[in-house]
Amino acid sequence: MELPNSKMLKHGEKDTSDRISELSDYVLVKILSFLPSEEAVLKTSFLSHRWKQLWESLPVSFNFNGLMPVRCGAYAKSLEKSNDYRHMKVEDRKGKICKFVGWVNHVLIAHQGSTIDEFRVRFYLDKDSWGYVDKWIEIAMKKKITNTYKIDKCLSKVPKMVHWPPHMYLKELEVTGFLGQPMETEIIQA
Amino acid sequence: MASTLKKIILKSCDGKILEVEEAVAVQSQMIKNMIEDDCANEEIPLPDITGEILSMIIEYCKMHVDGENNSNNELIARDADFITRVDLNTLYYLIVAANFLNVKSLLDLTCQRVADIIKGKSPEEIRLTFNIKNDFTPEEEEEIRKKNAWAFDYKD
Repeated sequence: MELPNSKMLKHGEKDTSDRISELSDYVLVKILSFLPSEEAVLKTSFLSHRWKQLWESLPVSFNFNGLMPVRCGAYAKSLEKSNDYRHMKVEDRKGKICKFVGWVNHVLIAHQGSTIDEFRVRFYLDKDSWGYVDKWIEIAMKKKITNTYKIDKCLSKVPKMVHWPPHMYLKELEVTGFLGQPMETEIIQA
Repeated sequence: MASTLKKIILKSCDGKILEVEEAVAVQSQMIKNMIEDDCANEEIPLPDITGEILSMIIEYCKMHVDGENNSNNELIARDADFITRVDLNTLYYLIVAANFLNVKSLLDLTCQRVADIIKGKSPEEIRLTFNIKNDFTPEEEEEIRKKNAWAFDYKD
């Protein structure tokens, strides 16, 4: 990387230029790799053109896990406290599910890249949520999914699948039913 | 090892000359390659690295060579102590230098530090922290807002 001497600053000197964006793609991708993809996409893809472009070539790994403490912001913290949905009032549960679905939607829409290495959702989803699951599949199918697409821990039966186009990138799709329902697993392999 | 007695001479962009034991210098894959190619017998000029940054990198490499027999936890604690003393501007030059010299563990450490600084911040806070200029046009911003609105509306 070129660093003209005029740009050199002494240790501790106040600087107002955007040095981080001057780093090479290799280094910036390395920095992003230390963040959970869900968080990195939401936060960095809208910073500037430089950062947006990074996402266009970068395969990411999404792991939306509403059952484990997640590392992303206040919403995730609120999840940590209460994640037993079986004993919850129906309205409360619906609220939680709604928030989770909103989060997944938000990240998927925010993702600027064309490739997803892995897509995984773990949460208690009820039968009303299946429309969204179909939508996630549809959105994700438009990208290249190179590894695994997995949705599990659901309250209801497996959804009626969306029209399933033959897809050369997707290796495996797994949807698992859970909780009081007979375990139903659908695995489609390319 | 007899070879550890050999000194490698490094010259920073501001003319500072540093003599470094070979065992420390080879923490840099770039210098290691130069030694193997027999190109490290004279001083090695480092055009993009100041004496101050170079000293810090040598301190880091020395710490890793000296700590070879220490437990992993001790090394992690020392790394953390080293990196949290560094301000943002210095961190930037350390990244550039670690990348150029190819000191993998230091590049990982410095990039991890930037990621830690990003964590827990909103996009606007990230821009402020790193002086990242929002170079989207009003139209592009509007487009982004629309996309986000859709994401929120969708859950109805």
